[in-house]
Order: sequence, then C-alpha cells, then structure tokens
Amino acid sequence: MHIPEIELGTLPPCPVAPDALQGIPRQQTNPSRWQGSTWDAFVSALQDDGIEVRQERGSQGIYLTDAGGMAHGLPHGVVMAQSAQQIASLLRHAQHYKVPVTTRGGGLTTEGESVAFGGVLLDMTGMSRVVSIDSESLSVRTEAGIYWHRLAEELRKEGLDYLSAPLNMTSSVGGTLGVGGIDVNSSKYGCSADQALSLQVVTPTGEIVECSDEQNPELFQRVILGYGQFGVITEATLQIRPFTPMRMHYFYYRSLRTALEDLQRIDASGSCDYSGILTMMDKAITLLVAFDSPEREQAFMAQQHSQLRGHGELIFAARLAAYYLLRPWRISELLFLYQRKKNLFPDLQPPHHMRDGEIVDRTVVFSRAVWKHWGNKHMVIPDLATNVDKIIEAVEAGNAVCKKHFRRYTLYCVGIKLRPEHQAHYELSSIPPDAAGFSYGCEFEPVLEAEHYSRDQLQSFKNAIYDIGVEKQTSYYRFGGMMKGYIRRALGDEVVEKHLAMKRQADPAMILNRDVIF
Amino acid sequence: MAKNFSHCHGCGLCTVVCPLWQQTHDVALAPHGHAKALQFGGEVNTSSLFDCLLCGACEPVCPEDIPLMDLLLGLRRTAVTRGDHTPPAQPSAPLSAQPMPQGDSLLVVDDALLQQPELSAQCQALLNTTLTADNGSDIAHALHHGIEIETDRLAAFLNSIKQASTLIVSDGLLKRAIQQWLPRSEVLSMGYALSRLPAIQHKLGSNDLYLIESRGYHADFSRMVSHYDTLRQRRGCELNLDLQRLAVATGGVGADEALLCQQAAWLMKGLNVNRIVVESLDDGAVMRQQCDLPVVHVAEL
Repeated sequence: MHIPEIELGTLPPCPVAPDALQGIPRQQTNPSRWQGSTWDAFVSALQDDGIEVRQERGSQGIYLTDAGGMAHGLPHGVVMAQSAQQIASLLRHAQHYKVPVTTRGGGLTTEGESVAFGGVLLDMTGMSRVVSIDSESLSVRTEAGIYWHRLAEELRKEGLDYLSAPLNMTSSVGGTLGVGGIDVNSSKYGCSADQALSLQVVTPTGEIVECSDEQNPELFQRVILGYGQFGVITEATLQIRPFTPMRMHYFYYRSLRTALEDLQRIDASGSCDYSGILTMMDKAITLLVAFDSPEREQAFMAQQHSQLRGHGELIFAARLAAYYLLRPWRISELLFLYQRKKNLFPDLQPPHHMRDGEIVDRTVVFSRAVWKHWGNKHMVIPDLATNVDKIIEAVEAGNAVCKKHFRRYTLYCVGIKLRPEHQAHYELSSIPPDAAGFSYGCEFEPVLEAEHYSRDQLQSFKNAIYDIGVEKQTSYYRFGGMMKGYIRRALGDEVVEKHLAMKRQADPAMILNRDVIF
Repeated sequence: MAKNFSHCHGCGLCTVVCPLWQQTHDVALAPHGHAKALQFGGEVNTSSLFDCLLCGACEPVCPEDIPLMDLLLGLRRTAVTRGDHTPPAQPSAPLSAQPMPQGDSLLVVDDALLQQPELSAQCQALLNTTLTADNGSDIAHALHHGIEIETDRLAAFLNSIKQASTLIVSDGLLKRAIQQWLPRSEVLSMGYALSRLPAIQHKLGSNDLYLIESRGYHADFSRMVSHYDTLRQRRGCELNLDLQRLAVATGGVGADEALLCQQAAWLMKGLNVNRIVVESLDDGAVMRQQCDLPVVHVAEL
C-alpha cells in the first residue's frame, strides 16, 4: 500500500482514509500536533483586532485533557470566547493562516475531541449569559457556552426548565447540540439537540449566520449534531417548559432482556415522562419510571403497572438472597451490590432535594450522583445506539464485554424519541439511519473505584464496545461524537463523502475541530 | 494523607458554583483553574486568589472531597510570604483574656458586630451566652488576608475559649478555623444558632428573604442544609440557596464591590419579597445598596 508523504501536523489528502481500520489494532492515538509555523503572525493579527490570546503556561493546563483522560494535548494559545464578532474575526484569521481551532465547552468529551493538539483552543464558556427568556412562547435565547446547570438556575427563577440535557452539570449547551445529549426524558422529548429552535452560528470562514429549519436550513441541519465541523454555535434558542418536580418509581429485575422489553413497552405507550434502566452489573437491574404530575402517575399505575415484570425492593432482595445462598463463593458480589445500593440510592433521593416524595432539582441530584459514584480521572462511558429491534442483542453483547474487562460495572439505557421532522438533522449523527419512532442508547460504564486500569486497557474496552456497533451494523453515541477511525464503517462511504465535500467547501483550510471526525 | 490540588480530576463542579466564575465566566479564576495550573507546573493568578470571596461553596460540591478552602487559604499565605501580595495592616491583638470557666457557652463576635453594641448585646441575650473578651479579630484578619498567625497568639486565643461547651462564632471563616483547631468543641455559626430559636423562627414568613452567611454554612454543609431546608419548609421564607442548596454569597472581606452587587442582583431576580433578613452585616450592607427593601439582622426580628 502506498502511503503518500505529508507535511507533519497537516491533514492528508483524505482525512478519513477508507481503510483506516483494516489490520490496525484500534488503540486511540493522539492526532499529530500542528507545528505552529504561522502562529506568531496569526497572534499578531488577532492582537491587532483586540483579541487576547493567552499563552502563559498556567492557563494551558486546564485544557490538557478531557473527561475521558486518555488524550493529552496542548494548544499554542487560548482564546476566551466573548462574542460572535470576536469568534468571526478569529476564524477569518485562522483560515488565512491555516491555524487549527478547537472549540471546548465543559470538556466532557471522552476521546480528546475537545483537546487541542496545537493551534488555538477557543474556550466557549466565556459566553455563558442567558440573553432572554420568553415565558409565553416557552423559549430561551442563550449564549452557547453556558453549562446546562447554569441555564437551569436561570430558568428556575422564572418557574421554567429546559426540556432535556445530559445528566451532567458541566456539559455546555453548544457542545451538547453538536453531539446529541440524552436524558431520562429523552423517550418523551428526544435527544437534547432536538430542543434547539434556532442558532446563531459563526461559520469556519467567519460569517455570522442565524439559522433554523426555516432560515438557512442547510446550515442548521449540518450544525445540529454536526460535531462542530460546520460552525461554532454562539447562541441558541431552545424550547423550554414549565418546571415540574418528578415522582419516581423503581422496579427491579434479574434479567436484562426482560427489563429492556418492559422499557420499550412503556416508552411505546407514552405513559410515563421519564424512563430508563440503571444496573449493577447484570445482577440488579433497575427500571426507573417517573412522572411530571400525580395524574400521569396514577394513570400509569392503573394501566401499566400490572404488566411490568419487575418487582418491588423486598421481593427482589429475597430473590437475590436466594440466588447467592446457592452460590456462596460469590458472596463478595452480593456484598458489593448491597454496599452500592446503600451508598447510591440515598444520593438519588437526598432529603433536601425532595418535597412531599417528589424530586426537585433532578439536574443536580443525578449529576452529583454521576460524578460521585462514577466519576474518575477517566470517564469511561462507551455507548451503543440502535434501532428498537437491535437494542437487546447489542446490550447483551456489550454486557459480555463489560464482564470480560471489569469486575464491577453499570449499564445505563434510555429510549430516544425520534422526531420525523428532524430527520435531516440526524444524518451525520449517531442516531442509526434504520431507526424509526425510537432509538435506544446504552452506556457501558466500569465502576473503577480504587482499582487501577491502564489507559490501554480502558481504551481496549471502549473499542470492543464500538466494535459491537460496527459488527451489528448499528451506531454508537459518545460524548464528543464519533471516533474518526470508525466513521466510515458507522455511517458508510456515501454519507461520509457527502459531508466531507461539504466540510471542504465550508472550511477550506480544514481548521475547525480537525481530527474530530474529519 | 490530606488531599490536595493534585487530586483534582477536573470535573469542574467547583466552577459552576464559584461566584467569581459566575460573574467573569473565566475558568482560570475558579478552583478548577488553580488546580490545573498547579498540576501543569504553572502559577496561580494572584489577583484572582484575593478576589475570591472565600464563600466555600466549592468545597461541599467537590466529589473528591479536596479541602479546597484550606488549599485556597494556603495559596494566599504563599502569595503574601513571597511578596506577591501586600495585605492590609493587621489590627493589634485584643488584650489578653482569662480562660472562661468550663461548661459555659461563649459568643465570639466580629469587629463589625462589636461596633454595634446594641445588636451584639441583643445577640448575646437571645443566645443566653457570654461575649468573649478576646474576639480573635486579628486572627480572623490574618486568615482572610493570608498572613501567618503567630503560634503564641493563636495558643492564647484558643486557651481563652477552649473550655467552653459551645462556641458560637459570627465570622464564618473564623468559625471554620476554630472547628479545625478545637475539633472536640461544639462550634456553631451565630446565624445558625439564632435561626434555631423558636422565637426567631416564628417571626419569619413567606415575604422574607433570609440570607444565610455562606462561609459558616458551607463549612458544616451536611448539618446546615438540613436545618435551613426545614426552616424554609416551616416558615415559607425564601433562602439564598441555589439549586445545589449552596448559599449565594453576597458579602466578603475585601471582596470586589461590583462583584458582590452582581451577586446580590442575581439573587434578587425573580423574587417577590418584602424584607431581607441577614445573618451577616456584610451581606446586609450589600443588600441595602442593591435594593430598597428593609434589611434587618436576624437578631433584630
């Protein structure tokens, strides 16, 4: 095979080689670092425009890695986002001097997508203001660097809430709209990106453009779920809703398949407002359902409850005890389950976040639990996304991979309602093209606790999960998007070529978020 | 071994609750930024260290349980020792005081409250306690401004209060430090002690915004959050708590006035109250600037 020589730190003629995966052990490696030949002239041009570039050592350490903790890289300099005009100027100069620009919000990517390997890191959290809230039309206009948690704080003052957001307080709005985002109410509202009504975008060549499904729809379709390839989202108008506390119920299962079947049935019925599965390995599987109102709760209990095959806590505990009584050599597993439940469940319903049996501030409750019980220097959460028919076999295959790699792990699975009118938004996304009605996503999360695993082992685990997506001809969803090495297999040549051509046209110097997928 | 900045995984939860970040949106100024700068062998921005309100909201949210307040205060001391920052002149130590008899409850009030003799007498009467002769104001000043505390002076201060069964302290930062220095003593913030009194609680209503003193609150978060949550449920008053039940700080020694006013403005947004009740005189001063509503100290209810 002939490999053409390319200048170090630049992109090859085809940035997504068709045979990128063949015969290569798929360990993630850092992209090559941009060498900085035009850096000084670029900085000088920015300074002439009044744009501050931070180059001192202390200010760079914050951006060394992302939540995944696997990829490490440094920018030549950091620019704090201040306005669309500032970013437009930055991108125009970056095109001219061919300087890579990496955008970063909360830095919650897991494969280094928000890590800069040279060039400029654009920290979008500098743009974190809420512009306006319209409580009549139920929409909010916000700068896109804002964390969902901060947005929730602002909306709550008006008795309002966002529709759906990742269960993580430090995800940014712009980053989420670029990749999708799932919540426990995604079976009702769709992925987080579906709540975007319109966007202000700075294109890679520095034009400031307002776009929506009506205005500049092609740009809107490319930017939503576009992995930051076609523009920087600077402001977003989002659909919102009145705030409601949440009434939660848990049902316990011993079988992943049974729990998933029940989850799918209740999602299809539209009878609950929140649903999902959270497991402790494949031994204790919890189906959680929750409601925005007592009326919805009562209707569910009257019509759906009797059809669920899960049990209440006491019956499940008795069955589990019987299971381990016959397998005394696995007592440590039982102790883990007991300890985990004892530690985790109180954090899912802390008294000061409860009112009359309802959870207020679910954003806080779940996010804190995520960081406390799953947080680590490596956020290892590879996901699979499938259509309705493939989810059970995909989860079972993923479960087998988890068992092979780790003693303790968790699965988190939710349904995502697909919006037919948004089909064009999903084209480059991880929502499988063969999904209709609902898509399902499952995260596979090792419980690392005090155990030490090498980066290689963690990456091998993640790749083994992504391989399931490839083998089963489905997709996977990850914080940060889709790994570059997998994109042709996941999306197919036709889609990749189409978007690569559009990317080349929109971003001639290929400077914006390079190496994320292109 | 105590955790330090090297244990920070970079989750950023301390950033979203940091008043300095909330007003500047610059992560380099938040504890997360300090931790990563140090991990990377860089320097912490000295002015941001002293712009910090020391409200302590970052500490209870840290999933790694890193003692962020101790570390931030340590960074301040280092900056002063190295001459990177010049602290304001330290007040002289109060005259030496005799140790109090064992079993008494003692009230340690800050200088601002001492300058209002009627109010401090009212606090003392409500709490049925004795004012200390030595209020440790020089020690509180040193804590705030990163000045090393002389060992003999600290020993003398602690010796004068350590026999008390309960120590009630109005300065949240001093309260936090005394908690660490005298781990066997019961140390309460004055606002908490007052707000426990039924006579006070009955005077609070749904038209009140009650401002919890943030430093004392965050230093004892798990106990405080439960107490104030109960208070809100019983009396229906609004509290200066955010969605994480952390206290929105509006006061701070040496803090930037514009920053405090922005905090206060954000706090007042969307609230429909007729009166503001404060535990700390610092908070009261800022709220008087920010709105026309009557502002009263909790002991004045």
